[in-house]
Amino acid sequence: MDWMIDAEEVSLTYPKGVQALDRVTLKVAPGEFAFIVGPTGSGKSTFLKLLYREEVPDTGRLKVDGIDVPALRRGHVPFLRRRLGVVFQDFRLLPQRTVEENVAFALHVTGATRRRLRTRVQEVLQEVGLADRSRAYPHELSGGEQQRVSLARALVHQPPLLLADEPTGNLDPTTSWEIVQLLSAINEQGTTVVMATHAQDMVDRMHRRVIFFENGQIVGDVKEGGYLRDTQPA
Amino acid sequence: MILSRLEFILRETLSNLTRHGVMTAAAIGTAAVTLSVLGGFLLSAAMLGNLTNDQLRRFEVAAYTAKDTSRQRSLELKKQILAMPGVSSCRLITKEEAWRTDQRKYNELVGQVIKDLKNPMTDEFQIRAVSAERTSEVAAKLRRMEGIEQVSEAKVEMERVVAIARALKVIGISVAMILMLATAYIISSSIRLTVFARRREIQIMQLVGATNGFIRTPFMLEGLLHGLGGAGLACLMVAYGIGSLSQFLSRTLPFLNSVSADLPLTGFYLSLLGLGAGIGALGSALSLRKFLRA
Repeated sequence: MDWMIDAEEVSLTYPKGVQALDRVTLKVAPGEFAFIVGPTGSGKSTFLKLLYREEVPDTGRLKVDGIDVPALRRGHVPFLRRRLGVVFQDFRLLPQRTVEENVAFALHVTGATRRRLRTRVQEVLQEVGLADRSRAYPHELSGGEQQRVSLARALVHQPPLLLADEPTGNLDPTTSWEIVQLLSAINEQGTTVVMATHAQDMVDRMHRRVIFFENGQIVGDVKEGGYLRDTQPA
Repeated sequence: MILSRLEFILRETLSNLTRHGVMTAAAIGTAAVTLSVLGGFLLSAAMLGNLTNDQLRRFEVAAYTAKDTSRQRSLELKKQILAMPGVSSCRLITKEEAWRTDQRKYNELVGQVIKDLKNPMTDEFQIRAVSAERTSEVAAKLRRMEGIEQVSEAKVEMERVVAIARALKVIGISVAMILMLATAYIISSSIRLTVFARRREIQIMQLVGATNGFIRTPFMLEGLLHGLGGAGLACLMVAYGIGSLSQFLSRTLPFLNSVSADLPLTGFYLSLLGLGAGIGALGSALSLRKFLRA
């Protein structure tokens, strides 16, 4: 089977000697929706960083959508990133650009034509429900709206894989739920979604695959589980 | 596609300049101040060089013919001297002219007119070498020349002036080098600050899959414009400085008038602009390296 994520015995030790990941083996199929949960410092974010090549594992094998990520030359990293969408807790929007410009920016870097750019940006803003705020600046938006912009930017390339690193960490429960619903809708259209989170009740309500990290290792992996009930080791 | 990318880069560069107005002003101001110090120094050094060369040009070699040399022979000798390598000019002062001058001088000094005396002078050549350094060589050749009886040059004094000129040149070049390095360092530091202020933006660019070249281009263009703007201001300041200096000199020391007259100013301004643009673009590229490596 062609896995979307295919990690085999992946380990990473940070320069200061902290072992962030310890022989992690994980496979995610195309079209899956998976939560990565676990305490702070358990290696969730580090694992995601390996996937978009912010970090490189010391040992092990790692393929994302068929690409051998650790073997990627530095000059080819941008092309991997164009096949991934990534969103973060802190949104990472450019404060001096409008919603539209923030989203368009991701297309500009690929040298898209102006016509393609305009239609695609409108399309994706529609998808996240922000079509009417396209000329607003990030500081004029609520946290939930800002995260929607960041999602629109992540989706503008129509990536097969969307990575979300605690995307609801700065949002209230209602807004968080809306964002997760949006991620779920995106997943239903075929995009694989991997989301690292601390939000227990949300994970419990979703009944999706849950992967539990602890001390840099995977200690639980349940197909349709909850945050603690099914994945917490005895 | 290429056109839309070019348009995007140009628009990015321009809007970045206005978006980061304070940073832009600081970078341009720094470039302007450091480049005008450098430019002012280089021009002063060039003026000083002109001045010493001017002094040196006054040194000449005098050569005297033997007594009873015919006028025709003297004219032939003049032609030969002019054909010598290293000679830039040769003036023939006939013995009649020399005698008249001497008589007049004597008259002025003593208040008597010399009479009843046969002209004791010989024809004289006043010769200038193409450069001060070659004066001795020219003098030596003149001494070996047939028809020339005596050669005189102000050797000791000239060697001293040549030595001073040489020392000035060495000092000028080394100070200019140090200043140039300092200028490059200060300008690229101020540009590094503008890059550092935008490291988040660079991270986001990388996140959405911008290649390093794509990120670098607007930054380098921006740096280039910072340097160019600073250099433009520096040129204005230096031009103003030169203008007032030569005005001052022509008022107070009229004989130094030529000092700033034959400076290659256009070339100088163009090099200053080029230097500013180069340091700006290169400084940006170097400051970005750290962020693009990640």
